[in-house]
Amino acid sequence: MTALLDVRALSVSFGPGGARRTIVDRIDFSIGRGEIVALVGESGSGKSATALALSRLNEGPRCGYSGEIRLSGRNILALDHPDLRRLRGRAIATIFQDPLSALNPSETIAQQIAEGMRAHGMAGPDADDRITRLLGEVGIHDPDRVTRAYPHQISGGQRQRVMIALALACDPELLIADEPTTALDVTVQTQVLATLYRAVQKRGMSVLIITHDMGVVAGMADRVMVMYGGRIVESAPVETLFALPRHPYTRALLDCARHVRDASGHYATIPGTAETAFALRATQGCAFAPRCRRARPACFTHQPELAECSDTGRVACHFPLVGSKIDG
Amino acid sequence: MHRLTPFAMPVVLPWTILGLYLAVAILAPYIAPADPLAATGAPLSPLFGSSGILGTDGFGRDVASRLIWGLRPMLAVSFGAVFLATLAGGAYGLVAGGIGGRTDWLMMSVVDVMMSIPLILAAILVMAALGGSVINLIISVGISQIPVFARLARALASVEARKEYVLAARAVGLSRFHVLVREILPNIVRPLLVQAGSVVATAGLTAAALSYLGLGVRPPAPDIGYMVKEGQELIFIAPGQTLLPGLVLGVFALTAALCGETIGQERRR
Repeated sequence: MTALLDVRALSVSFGPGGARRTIVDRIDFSIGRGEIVALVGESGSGKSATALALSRLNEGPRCGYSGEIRLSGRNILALDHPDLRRLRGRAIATIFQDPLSALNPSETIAQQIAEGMRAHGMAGPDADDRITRLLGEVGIHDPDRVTRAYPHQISGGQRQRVMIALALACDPELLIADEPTTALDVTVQTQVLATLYRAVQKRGMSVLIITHDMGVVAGMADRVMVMYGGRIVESAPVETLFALPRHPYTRALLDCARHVRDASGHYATIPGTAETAFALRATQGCAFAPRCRRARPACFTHQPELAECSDTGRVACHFPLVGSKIDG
Repeated sequence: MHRLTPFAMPVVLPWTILGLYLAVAILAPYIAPADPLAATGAPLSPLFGSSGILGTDGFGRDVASRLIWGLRPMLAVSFGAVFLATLAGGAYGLVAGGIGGRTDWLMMSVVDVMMSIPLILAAILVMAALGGSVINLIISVGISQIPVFARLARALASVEARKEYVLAARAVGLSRFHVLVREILPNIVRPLLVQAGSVVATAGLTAAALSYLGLGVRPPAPDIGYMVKEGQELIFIAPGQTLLPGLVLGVFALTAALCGETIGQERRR
C-alpha cells in the first residue's frame, strides 16, 4: 500500500531574514490511506507549524519551507497558487482549535459551508440539502435552525461540529485536526470526538490529529508520532507506544498523563520547559538531553536520527528504553 | 435584528430634520417661492415683508428661494464627498490591511504623506486646479477625506486578517480576493459607516468654507457658504443676510453629526 501523504525532510523556519529560527527540523513521516495518526507534543514543539505547512497555510515572507510534502505523489511545496487553492479544502481540509474564531462572525453557517463547496465547484442545486444532511450527520439536532444561524447564536459544541461539517463538505482525502477539542469542556469533548471518528471511519478518510491529550490519542489514533523541539522523536502504533514507550520523553509524557507518583508521593513532571530545546539546537545534541534523566555526554554532542527500533516503531534516541513496561 | 429605537427623541429628531433638508433640496423647483437668480423686489427688503417671507438680499433676490436652492450643492457635496472617500479610502485600506507586510507599509506611507498636507489646503489646491463646480467640490473634499477612511479601514482589516476565520477561509481554498471582499469586508463595514456618518458634517463645513473663500460654486448660483460671505459685509445693516445661511449650515452640520452618532448607537444596542 502506498501512503497517501509522504513527508520527507520537511523543515519550517520562521522569522525575518537574519534571525530565522527552525521550528520544524527535517522531519519524515507518512500517513496511509484511511489511517488516523496522532501528533503529540507540548506547546512549542512544532506540531501546529507542521499541520499548517501541509497545506502551506503559514507560508509568507516570514516563514519558509524546505523538503518535500507528497500527497498521492504530487509535491505540495512545488504547486503554484491556483493549484494550491484547488488542493486546500478539497484534498486537505483543516479543523481549527477554536471554532468561534475560525467561523466568520458575519456569515450564517450555511453560507460558510456553501462557500467552500462553491470554491471547488461542488455546490450544485442540492447544496442546501447536502448541508442540512451533513449537519445532521455531525450530530446537530436541529440542522434547519443552525444553517440559518450566525456563529454566536449556537453553542461551542455545535460550533465545533459545524467546523467538522465544513471540513467534510468537499470530501477531502486528508483531514487535519489541530487540537479539535481543546476549546470544549470535557463532556462535550468526548461526544465531538466520537462524531469525528464515526464520520472519518465511514468515509475511509486519513486523519492527522494534533493534540496534547493522551486520552484523545488512545481513543482515536492508529499510530502516534511524538514531537519534541521540532523533531519527531518517536513513532509507533498506539498500543505499542502506550505499552512500551522507547523514548524517555514519550515515557515522561505518559507518566504525566497517568498521574504517576514518585517515591515521595509527588506527581510526575518533566523538569524544565520546551524552550530549552531551542536553546540547545545551536549545539549539536539531542533536543531533549537537558531535561532527560538518562542523558549521557554523547547526548549533548550528537543528534540522534529517527531509526527503526522494531517492526513498527521508530525512535530517535541514543539510549532508548527497553522493555520498560509501565505499571498502573 | 437592526431596528431603530422606536420614537426616542434623540434618534428620531435629527433623522427627521435631515429628511426635511433632503426633501426641501429635492423639491426646490416646486417649493421655492421665487427664481433664486432674479431680482424680485427692492434690495434688502425686511423679513416677513411684502417681497418674500425672508426678504431679499443686496441684489433684490429672494433669500428664502436662494436658501432652498443653496441646499442642493451643500447636500450633494456633503454626501457625494463622503461617498467617494468611503469607497476609495475603504477599498485602499482594506487591500493594505488585508494583504499586510511590505505592501501595507508602502500603501500606508502614501497615506501618511497625504495626511501631512492640511485638509483644507489640499482642498483649496484641488479647487484652484480644477475650477469651481459641484463635481469638483465633491472630488476635492472627497480626496481630502480619503486618508481618514484608508487608515480606519486598514486598521480594522489588519485586525480581522489575523483572525482564525481568515486562515480557515484560506484553508477551504478561497482566493485572496474572495477573502478580502467576502470574509473581511463584511466585518469592517459597520465601523466604516459610522465614520462616514460622522464625516458628513465635516464635509459639509469644508465645502461651505471653500465656497466662502470663493472656490466653490460659481456665483450667482445660490450656495450657502457663499451667501454667508456675501451677507457678512452687510452684517450691521441686515444681520439676517449672513445669520440665516449660517443657521441653515449650522443646523445641518449638527443634525448630520447626530445622525452619524445614532448609526454607532444602533450597533451597541
